[in-house]
Amino acid sequence: MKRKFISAVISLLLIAFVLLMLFPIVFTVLRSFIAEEFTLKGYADFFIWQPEYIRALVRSLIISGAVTLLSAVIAISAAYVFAKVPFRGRGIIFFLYIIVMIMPFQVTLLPHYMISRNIGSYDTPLALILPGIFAPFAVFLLTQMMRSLPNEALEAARLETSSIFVIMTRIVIPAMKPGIACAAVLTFSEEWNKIAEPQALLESPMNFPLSMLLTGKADPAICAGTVIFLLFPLILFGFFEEEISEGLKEYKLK
Amino acid sequence: MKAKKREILLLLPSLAGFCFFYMAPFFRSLYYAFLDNAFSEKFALFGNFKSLFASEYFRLAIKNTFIFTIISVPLIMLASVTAAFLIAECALKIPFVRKAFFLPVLLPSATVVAMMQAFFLEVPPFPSLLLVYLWKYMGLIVMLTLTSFTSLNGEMLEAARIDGAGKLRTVISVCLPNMTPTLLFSLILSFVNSLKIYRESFLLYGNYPDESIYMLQNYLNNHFDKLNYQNISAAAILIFAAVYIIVVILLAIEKKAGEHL
Repeated sequence: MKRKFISAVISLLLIAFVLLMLFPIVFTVLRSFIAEEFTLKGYADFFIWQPEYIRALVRSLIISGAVTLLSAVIAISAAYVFAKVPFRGRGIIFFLYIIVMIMPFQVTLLPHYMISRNIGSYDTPLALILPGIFAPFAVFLLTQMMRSLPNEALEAARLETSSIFVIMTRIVIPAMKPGIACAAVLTFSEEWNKIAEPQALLESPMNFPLSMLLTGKADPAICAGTVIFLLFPLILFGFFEEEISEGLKEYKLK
Repeated sequence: MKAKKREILLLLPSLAGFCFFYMAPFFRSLYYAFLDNAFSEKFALFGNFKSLFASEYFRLAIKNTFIFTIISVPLIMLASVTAAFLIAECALKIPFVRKAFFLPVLLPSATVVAMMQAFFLEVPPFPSLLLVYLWKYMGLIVMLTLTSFTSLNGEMLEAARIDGAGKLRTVISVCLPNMTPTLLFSLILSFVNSLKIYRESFLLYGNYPDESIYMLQNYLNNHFDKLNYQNISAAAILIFAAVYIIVVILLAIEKKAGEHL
């Protein structure tokens, strides 16, 4: 009897928690349809009357998409080496990756600004894409997951073929699917959400990603835009959900 | 063996980009930090650091960042671990729980901020940032600890039960020690995320927020706008050093825990 009671209390607590977690989404969606009464004005503004929003959405998709795809490719190969190919100095390099990952963006803000000036990417999407591709987070995450890949499978594959490409595409990538999905979704939503970086590395409003346009005072177009904006990470998450919960299993630092 | 050597090449693209965009700039910062001013190429040794610490705002920023981290990170760990155990213990399986926890991580900061402005306008800046932080990043840690907990060895837990250990006792002396790697990983992620709170802080309060939440990121951002290179570089070096020490400590803890198990 007592056990049942405790169980019920915990369930209630959890349900309350779930509602709390979902509340902002519900709030955002409702806000976009209701000003004083039901309206679609925000969506009309967003999609038709204020074309800068759609342009910004496309830019956001290009930037986040490019960073997610390219960083996945680069991070998978790097993580493979960090997890499975020992060499001298590997520990130190990985250690540096961790430190850079932790440091707030503002520390590298000035250097990124100077680099983008130097290589001519300032005020273009490339100013965001290039550093994003090489951000250490995805490498770190994938290395953690790659460690749990059994060595026997790799050794067996190495006996059969000497092509790295074959080993990667036949053995490593299929086995790492959950981890890759997890890293990709997190990288995408991180990139999708960026504000400080575009602020520093872009100048003309016509180059801003959508995240920058949604920070102003909440007019109808912004309310509707926020709903559209949050749809993309959600869709991606829904698509890879199983892999993600699979991917979050075992972690170690080193 | 030769094949293995060739495989090291796979690291090159990542390492090259990492060096170009992250490490080289760091060494450049190191150079600037000790430079008297951007035009003279004269070295000032510790002049920049001295003037940094002489700045009231820098000291305030350090203090606030420290306070926020030292409160928010343990709090999120405690809350997440508790939530994870509750979910695991809960007899009724509520289907949506895990998903609901993960959702906020994906949400745009603008959404969070809009909600805060609509409902928590009265809350002072510091607790509201703490609230946003918990709300946004707890889900990830809950997921991590939950999956780690559910993959713990069942026999071990059974043995603890037979030995007469209560629920709480089992959690503290059996579950948590065995989850050390996950917990440390979560700790690092939480630390990273606590430094990301600037995004919400900026959206809520702009570049010159209330004194209680004026953090290092604000300081750096404002000096970036003034293009004060020496100052930012010196601050960057100090932050690097601080993060370095923290990571070394965490790794040492993990190593120790690893020997123990």
